[in-house]
Amino acid sequence: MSPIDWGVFALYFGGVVAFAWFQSRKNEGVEGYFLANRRLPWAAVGLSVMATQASAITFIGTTGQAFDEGMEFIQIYLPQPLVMVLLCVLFVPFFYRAKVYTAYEYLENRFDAKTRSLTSFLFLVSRGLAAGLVLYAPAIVLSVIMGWDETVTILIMAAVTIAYTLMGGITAVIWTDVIQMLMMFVGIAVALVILFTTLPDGVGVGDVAYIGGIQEMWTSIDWSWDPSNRYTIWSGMIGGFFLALAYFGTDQSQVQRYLTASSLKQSRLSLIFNAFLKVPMQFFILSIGVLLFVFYHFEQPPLVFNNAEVAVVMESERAEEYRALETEQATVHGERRTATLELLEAREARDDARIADLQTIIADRDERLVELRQEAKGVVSEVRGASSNDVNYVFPSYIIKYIPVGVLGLLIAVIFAAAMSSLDSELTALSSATVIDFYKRWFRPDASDAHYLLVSKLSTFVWGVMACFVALFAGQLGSLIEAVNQVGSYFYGSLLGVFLLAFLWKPANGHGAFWGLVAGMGSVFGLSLVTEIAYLWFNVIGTVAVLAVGIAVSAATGGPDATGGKGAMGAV
Amino acid sequence: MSDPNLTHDDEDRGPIGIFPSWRALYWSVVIYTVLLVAVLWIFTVVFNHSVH
Repeated sequence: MSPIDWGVFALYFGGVVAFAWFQSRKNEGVEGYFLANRRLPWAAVGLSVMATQASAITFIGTTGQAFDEGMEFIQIYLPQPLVMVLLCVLFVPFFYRAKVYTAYEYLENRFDAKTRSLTSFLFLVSRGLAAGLVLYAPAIVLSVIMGWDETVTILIMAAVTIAYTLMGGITAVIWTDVIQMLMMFVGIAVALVILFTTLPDGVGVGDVAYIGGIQEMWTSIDWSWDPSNRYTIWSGMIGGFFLALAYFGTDQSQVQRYLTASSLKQSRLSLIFNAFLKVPMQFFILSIGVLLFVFYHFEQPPLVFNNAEVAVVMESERAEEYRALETEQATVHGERRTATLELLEAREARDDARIADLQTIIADRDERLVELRQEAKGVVSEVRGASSNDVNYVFPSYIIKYIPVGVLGLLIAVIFAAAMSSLDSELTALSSATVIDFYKRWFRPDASDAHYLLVSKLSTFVWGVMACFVALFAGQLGSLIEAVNQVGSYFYGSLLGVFLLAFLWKPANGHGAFWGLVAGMGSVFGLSLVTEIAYLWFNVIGTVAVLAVGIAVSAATGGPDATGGKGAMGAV
Repeated sequence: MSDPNLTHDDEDRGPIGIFPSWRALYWSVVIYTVLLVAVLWIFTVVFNHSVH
């Protein structure tokens, strides 16, 4: 990076940290640290909800995924507006009126302590892993740009983020998220504009759409019913619906956000805000990936985008083999580039026969380039003894090489700030669940507020260290965005089942909820071992299993009074 | 801070910005979702130039 980029990066980074420090002075007690004394406006909460979900992983993993597979990933986001409505109608009133600190605290009022503890524990496990992946994403960018070892990068990032989180508390985190999210909007717009400006002269929006369409990169809706196909309208609308409902309705990192709003109405409005904005935002982020695909019709891309992996291959016995693949890629890419430029001329001349011939040539070369990329990634994987996660390097690789001075620093700052704000939120949520659901509940129920605040900050620190350890192993996983969703999918469906049981089935009791939860997780793990079902369906399976077993066990063990809970409306 | 004397029903009544009620707002989100799917489907069909 140039000194100007470093200046922009430092200015923005320092500004955000200073802002967090300024906001941290408003923290008073545990309720201030975890819930901002329940006084924030809907717009701030809404942007924070969005920023927490859209971390650096969104920029790096999603754009890389769109580069390889097109827009089909958007289907997972399509049910989110409906999810927001259901949350407003069903979930938010229960949580908000119960005046709880954590979502799981509500379950003790409704069921019993063991159900609360188990759900909170599952949250800690799944979100603890996800926090590590969120930390890993910006570490990739830093390692590519600065050439640092990823381990060193992760350790540095973790240290800064933990310090920032300890200083902040939820008030600082949410107001910082507002800035981060606005910067993300700017970053998306800037990336799209820059991508268009780096295309050859005369290549317009229509040409970009056309070239992407030859490989069906703009395909956003897939109506096929194949359950092993990861992204279809059905897995998106059904599996994605359950995933999103579980994430926004039972994950403390999101529930904690809308519990900070100043009223029930403000909480609901923060979610409706997300209902309207989330899908368009994701559409534009994925478009960046497809635009990269089109851009690399005119510029030769690296065969494998992860420079560090390529360097390892070049030091191995397979170097010659890799160079041969690169040579062939250069030839095939040149042919495709020529055909693409000729296609643009043929389109202008409205020469349909020529257009059809050139489309066939481009499609043929596209397929060969995909094969070469797969072969190269195979070589990398064999040399390294681990699968290549090249997809996460596509966008960083582009911005380093093609983004103008000054803008590069801005985009890097946006990616880092987004990651830090998500990690902040997750550490705060992990800390709240640890302290409220375990420490205060089981070990020190009557300590002073100052004591809990101290323990809360200590817990934030410990979770930060844990996230650091997870991040060190994240490189062995595939696309980061999928990895985070996959981790969640093993638990989320079952967690959602417990909450739906609480809200919707009045005769349910603690025994039913607890054993339903165990059965739900067992079903998901069992099916994941013996079938090829796409991970999005795990959420549906887990939810259904919990409801079925929960209702049956509740009926068999004496109904709602069997475990001492207060019944369906008891906590409201 | 919300008014502690405000009942749940009070918070649920009245217009929400340009929407006459929560129910109208929720239905607008449902219609918006259907439109999103429709627009993306049109997008998929219009920009599919596959030779296969």
